[in-house]
Amino acid sequence: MKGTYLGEFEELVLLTVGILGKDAYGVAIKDDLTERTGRNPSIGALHSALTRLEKKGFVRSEMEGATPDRRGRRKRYYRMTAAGESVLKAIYEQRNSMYHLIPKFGT
Amino acid sequence: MSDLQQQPPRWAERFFRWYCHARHMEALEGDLYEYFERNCDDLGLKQARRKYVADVLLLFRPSVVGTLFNSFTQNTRTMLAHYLRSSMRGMRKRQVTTGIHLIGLITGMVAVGLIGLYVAYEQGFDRHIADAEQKFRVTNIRYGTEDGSVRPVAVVPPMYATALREQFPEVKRAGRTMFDFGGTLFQIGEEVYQEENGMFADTDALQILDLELVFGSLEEEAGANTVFLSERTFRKFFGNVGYEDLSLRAGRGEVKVAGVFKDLPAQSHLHLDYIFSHATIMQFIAEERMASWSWQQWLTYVELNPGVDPVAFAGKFQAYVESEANTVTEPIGYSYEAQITNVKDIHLTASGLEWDMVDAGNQRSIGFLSVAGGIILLIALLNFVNLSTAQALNRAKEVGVRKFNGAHRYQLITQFTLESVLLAFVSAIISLGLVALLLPYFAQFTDKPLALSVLFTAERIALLLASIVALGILAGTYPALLLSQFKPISIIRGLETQIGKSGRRVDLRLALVGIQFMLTIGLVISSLVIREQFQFLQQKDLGFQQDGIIVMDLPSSFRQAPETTRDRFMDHPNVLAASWSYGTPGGIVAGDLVVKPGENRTVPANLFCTDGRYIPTMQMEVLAGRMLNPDLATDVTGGFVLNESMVEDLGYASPEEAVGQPLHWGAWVDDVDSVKRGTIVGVVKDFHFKSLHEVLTGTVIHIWPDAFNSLTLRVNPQDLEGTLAHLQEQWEATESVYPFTFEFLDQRLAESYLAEQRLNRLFLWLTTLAILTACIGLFGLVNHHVIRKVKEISVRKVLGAKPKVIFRILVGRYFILLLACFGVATPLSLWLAQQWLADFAYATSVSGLLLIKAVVIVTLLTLLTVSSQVFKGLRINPIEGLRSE
Repeated sequence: MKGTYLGEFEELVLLTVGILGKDAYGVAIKDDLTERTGRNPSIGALHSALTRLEKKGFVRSEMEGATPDRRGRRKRYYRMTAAGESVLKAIYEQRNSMYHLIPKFGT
Repeated sequence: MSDLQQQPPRWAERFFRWYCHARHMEALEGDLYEYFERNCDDLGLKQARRKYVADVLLLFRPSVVGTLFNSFTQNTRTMLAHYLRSSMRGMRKRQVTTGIHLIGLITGMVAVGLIGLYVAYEQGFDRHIADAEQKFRVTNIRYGTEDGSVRPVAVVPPMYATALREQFPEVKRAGRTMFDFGGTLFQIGEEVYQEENGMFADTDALQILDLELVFGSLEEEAGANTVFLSERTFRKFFGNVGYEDLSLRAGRGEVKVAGVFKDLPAQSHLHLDYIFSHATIMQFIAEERMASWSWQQWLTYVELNPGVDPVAFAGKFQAYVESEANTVTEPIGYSYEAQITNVKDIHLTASGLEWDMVDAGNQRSIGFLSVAGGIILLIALLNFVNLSTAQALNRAKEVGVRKFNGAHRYQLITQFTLESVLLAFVSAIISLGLVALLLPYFAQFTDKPLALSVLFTAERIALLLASIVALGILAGTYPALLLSQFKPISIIRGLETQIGKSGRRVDLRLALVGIQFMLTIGLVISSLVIREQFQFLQQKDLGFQQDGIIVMDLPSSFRQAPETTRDRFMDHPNVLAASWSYGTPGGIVAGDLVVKPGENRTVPANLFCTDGRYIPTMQMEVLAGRMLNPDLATDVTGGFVLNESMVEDLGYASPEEAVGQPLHWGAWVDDVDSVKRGTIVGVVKDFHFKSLHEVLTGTVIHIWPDAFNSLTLRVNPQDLEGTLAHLQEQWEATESVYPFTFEFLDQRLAESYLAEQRLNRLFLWLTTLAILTACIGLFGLVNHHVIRKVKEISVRKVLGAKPKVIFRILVGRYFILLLACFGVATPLSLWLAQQWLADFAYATSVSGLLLIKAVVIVTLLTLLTVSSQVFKGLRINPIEGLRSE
């Protein structure tokens, strides 16, 4: 199913949006992502991922909160949607169940 | 905190704003600034700026840019529709200008379209050959060690193919072919067919040429006395029967049909109806001869293994030729430089080669035509720009009103550019129709099967559409920029706009007219030069009388008793003279070597083997000594007549000095190299038995009955029918198989200049078109000029101005301009003409008269174009001109 498919990077971005809760906008997401995963995606790559997530309905966005260091430009804040939550949950459960099937790791 | 000094690069900011979709703009730009500020603090300004640029470049991706259509808002779409509508209205309103624009563009497009189809056809030869990239033809440049001559020749020694096969691991295969000069008579039952387009070839050559067989195979070498027929020829010979086990008579022997091949396409450098096997010709060639480095009669093809660099290979092969072949040939007077030509390029490059029989195009003429087509289109474009700017004032009000209603400058530019693109499309559609309509005539005229269907591929249609849009933009941009910069306030206040009056603009317009003049002058001079050269070719004294000469290639039955044959054909009051020969103008002439005894030096010579009556029959001019006398025993066994070039080649100071000197010829008799020893008895004026593209070289005429193959007759032009009936009667009395054939020498020679004749006429048409286009443009410009000057002329008339003054005001500057243009264009076009003339060994010199002709033609045409407008200006009634105030 195309709609529920989530790429590895998209998944990380979605998780970060969830972690940041109300404070998830471009720069914050990038910083948090770098801090937690050690990756440093370009603004473009991150923007593409966020746009795709929004198109799939896993996040929604709104504009607010201009600051001086942004020279008056507002931020686009992203929020996780219910669909986003459930897809994360589904992925987690699937991974988990498969993980436990690996004999070496046991139960 | 942000410091005002700290700014990201301005161009990067602008670039980002330009490409970023509105939806993402604000948030992303904010993010970019936030990073920039932070980087400034952490890394310093320089690094921060660098990172900013990198981020902007990395953000240039579809998700950020969005599609083109996204950016079309409702408003943009409405405006586009509006532009379209107002363009249509405008065209209807400004009919004269629109008409001139359309006619100009259509003329240019039709010319370019037709020429383009022709050029594409000429450049698309031999595309049917698979893996053509690694397939080449091997030819030679032959350098005379004695005379310093440089002659590119198509034929190479038989050893070339042998060496290529055996000595070079890079070679996949190499094949030999030989043209079947003179054609072959085929006999199937009672039916007889004379076919001209054939050759001998080995299977390697046929595989390289990618011959597609519908019957038979190229797996192994075909045996002796076998032939491959084209499908078309096969059907002609046998009708609708199966291919197996058929044989026919070719010449005087039985041959078996070894295979049938698909007809070669028209765009093939070879046009073949039949191909005899290599083994067939080998029956007549001694084995030792195939080991020769000096006997040049083979057209040789080579296919290199994949990945082999052809240039490096050519060098390697040339090194081999230097060491193996040139050591053999240099003592006998020449050396080779081997060349390889890709099969796809043979058609375009073969025209300069001697002894070539392929379908050769002329690259230089194609270049000339392309340039001429481009010039016409350019003239049309300049017309467009010129007239549009001249008309700018008339549209000033429209611009003013639009600007008052809030039109941006870029919107106006869009509108005006769209208008010209629209015009370009309308012209293109009409042009396409016209091209389709004219193509059959053009195809007939150029003698090429041109078709519009080559355009119908997705790629070409896209290219065509793109060029039309580009043309529209090219034509429309400058007028659009000019029109859109009018200041609304000055228009509304009714002032003359600065633009109309500023000297700079007028100068530009004049400069454009100047370019048109120059191009037109260039074309006129070129077409006059081509015409002159063509007439030169037709009128040049060839050194013999070509009118009233009939040449008959006689089958062997006539050669049993040559004297009787000659007497019988002569037995008619209107047959004035006749001579046997091997070697006729425009036909085959033997290339051989003669020996200058004393110095024991060999010199290459064209050899006319005659019965001794050739010189009076052709009415050549004897400069020194005498003609050959067939009744004189010493002349039969050892009399030689030279041409002037040969005298020079042998190193004699004058014809008189050469007469009486000894000369030897190595004659092939019974395959033994015996020598004919003799004396030079006379010298004739140089006579051009080859086309004037080629340099005339040393020639020897002597008596040698063994080689006779054609009879040359001089006939009285009166009652030609009766004479021909007599000839036919005599022919049929002796020969039962070969049908009666003959040629008029002047017609045969004229055929070698068909290409020039075509170019001459084509160029005449193109020049006419170009002049017409330029005149239309000039007409429009002057027309507009007169309308604008009504008031000025009226005032001047009231004050008593003479017609001369008015003429000067209206068009005087165009004639000054014309004069200046002559100064610039003449040397340029003369230089170009020289380039073209360099193709000919014998070319006309460009005379001053020709230049005067060009000046008169262009000046008269200019005068004619402006005259009606000038008269209109002269007839202006001051009362009407001023009353409207």
